Amino acid sequence: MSRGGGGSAGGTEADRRARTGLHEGVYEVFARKRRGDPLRHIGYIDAPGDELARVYAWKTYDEENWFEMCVVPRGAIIPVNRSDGPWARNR
Amino acid sequence: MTAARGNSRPATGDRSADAPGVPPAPGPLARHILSLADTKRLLGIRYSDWLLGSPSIETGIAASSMAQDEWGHARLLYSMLKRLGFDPVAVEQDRPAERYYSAPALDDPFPDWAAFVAATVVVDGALAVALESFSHGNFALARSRVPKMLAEEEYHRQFGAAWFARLAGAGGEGAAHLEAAARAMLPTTLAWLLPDDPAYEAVVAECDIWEAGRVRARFRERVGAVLAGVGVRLEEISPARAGWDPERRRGPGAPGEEAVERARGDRNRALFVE
Repeated sequence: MSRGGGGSAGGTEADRRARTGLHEGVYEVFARKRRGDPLRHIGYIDAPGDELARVYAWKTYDEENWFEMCVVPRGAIIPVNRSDGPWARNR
Repeated sequence: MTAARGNSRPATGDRSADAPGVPPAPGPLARHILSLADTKRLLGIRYSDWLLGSPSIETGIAASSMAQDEWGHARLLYSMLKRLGFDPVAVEQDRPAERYYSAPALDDPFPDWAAFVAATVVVDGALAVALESFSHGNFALARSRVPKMLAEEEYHRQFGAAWFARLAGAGGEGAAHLEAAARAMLPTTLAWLLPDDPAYEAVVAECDIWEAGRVRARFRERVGAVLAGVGVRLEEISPARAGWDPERRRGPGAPGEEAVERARGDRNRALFVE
């Protein structure tokens, strides 16, 4: 039950968050299947903090038996060579 | 290790007699397993009610995954009953609601998201502690199968603790609902977790699971600080033992029939393939 990278929640979801006061941040999800594999970007999740980001990532991208998974706040990613895309605002 | 296992007691009461396929009243170990399995199955049902109504897409996905975890764990627990002479298929598919051994806090659907969150801490937490105790005993199937369940339960613990802290920290109506839900669930759940009866003592003695004092201490260690976020002091909560049913290891009442129909898979019965 995974979802791919890019995009954002639709209006209904945004409306609900506004109603409930649940303001969330975006976390990028990286994982590898085996110890020697490169860490691969597999998608993103919205979460209100690091603890729930871990749970949401593990439960959302559970179609593989991952050897390792980690999450990174989107705001912590520093683009090197691109001025467009989801991380550009961090330049 | 014989008295605690198997169908050592004769069937009692009318419930067994008029329910085809229902096993006779279980011995202490079978009761212990049924209580864990039925509580997991009902908790899965209650989690699944929030796949689409939870506060965010990710939360709904997590609820879905947790529901499936609970059902998988329940299936593994039911299968242990085969070792004790029960037919797990009959146990899963043929019992009426009043023959369920599940924790009373799950008898009715969660009325709001706060109740869902409270259950992830109180009921899921109690289940995890009971399983931890079971995995440290001498029943081989529990020693081999439960550790993986506990590893999956760790994500439930993180989910519950984070959401509980979030709602508690926000204060207002959400925190009030959370406190009320936790206080409503705790007395019956403590009675379920800490049965004060000979059957539980038999499982402690013969299967070497934790005695009640250690279970309570472990539960306090797991959830005490989380519950304190809404002012609930676990040491002030007493188990609700009124109307205790020693056969089902719980207080009076039963899960709603609609939930049990889903748990049994009544509407899909024609499609079952064994």
